[in-house]
Amino acid sequence: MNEHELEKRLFEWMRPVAPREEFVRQVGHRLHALSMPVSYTRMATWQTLLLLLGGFFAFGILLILLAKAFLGLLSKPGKETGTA
Amino acid sequence: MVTEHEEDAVLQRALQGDKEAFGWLYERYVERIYNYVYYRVGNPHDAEDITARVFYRAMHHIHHYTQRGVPFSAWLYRIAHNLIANWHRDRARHPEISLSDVPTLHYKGTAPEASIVQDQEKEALFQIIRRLSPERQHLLVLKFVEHLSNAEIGAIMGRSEGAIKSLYHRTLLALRQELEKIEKESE
Repeated sequence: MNEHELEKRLFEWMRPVAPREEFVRQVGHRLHALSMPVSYTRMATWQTLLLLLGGFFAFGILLILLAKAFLGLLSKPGKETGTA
Repeated sequence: MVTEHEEDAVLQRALQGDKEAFGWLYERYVERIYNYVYYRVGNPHDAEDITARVFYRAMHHIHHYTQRGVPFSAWLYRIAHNLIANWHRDRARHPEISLSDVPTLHYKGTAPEASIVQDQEKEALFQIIRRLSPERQHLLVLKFVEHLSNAEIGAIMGRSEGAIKSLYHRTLLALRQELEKIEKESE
């Protein structure tokens, strides 16, 4: 078989195959039902900055609260357990 | 006819999490991906399963897609290629005889004997194609099923037009050699 004959056969036999309509519809519905991930990497710079700043402040407040609680525990007078 | 610019706009929306936009891309590419998978695995059942998984994966990882001159279809084909590779690996581990591996017989038009011979030839050719490298199989699907030009194939496969032309001729040569080998063995 020469190259030309082989090409002719490939054109004849390798035809486009249509997927089942039901399959296409089912997958389409499933894709619509699934939630799409939000791309944080594609957010605008100001949004990223705002997120970072918010996170930084939240972390700061958490640290202050923890420090206050710790100091409060230390400064509390201990219970005396002496016997009469 | 959808222009490249229109597709880019839809892609941008899909990248920002727009489901409708992704649905549009799905409708546009599902048949092409299905064809690619079908010709590489050889049966409609696995072709459907893998095609569905290509789009689920694409939707979950769409933020990994970057528009650097590479068509969206190339990214989808790459996902499909990876899933097909996994499928082949699983099949090698758990071999099974699929009903679709048995040549199908169609008696329409031609005489039964002639049809059987043609089906056997066709199946033999497809089996040889499936033994080619994934790159060569991809090229054959893009060329004969999708009727794309060498330049379009090059854009999808990330190669120059000249490289595709050369790969195409080497692929045809390999196919011919394999066919001749089979013919000699059967004599």
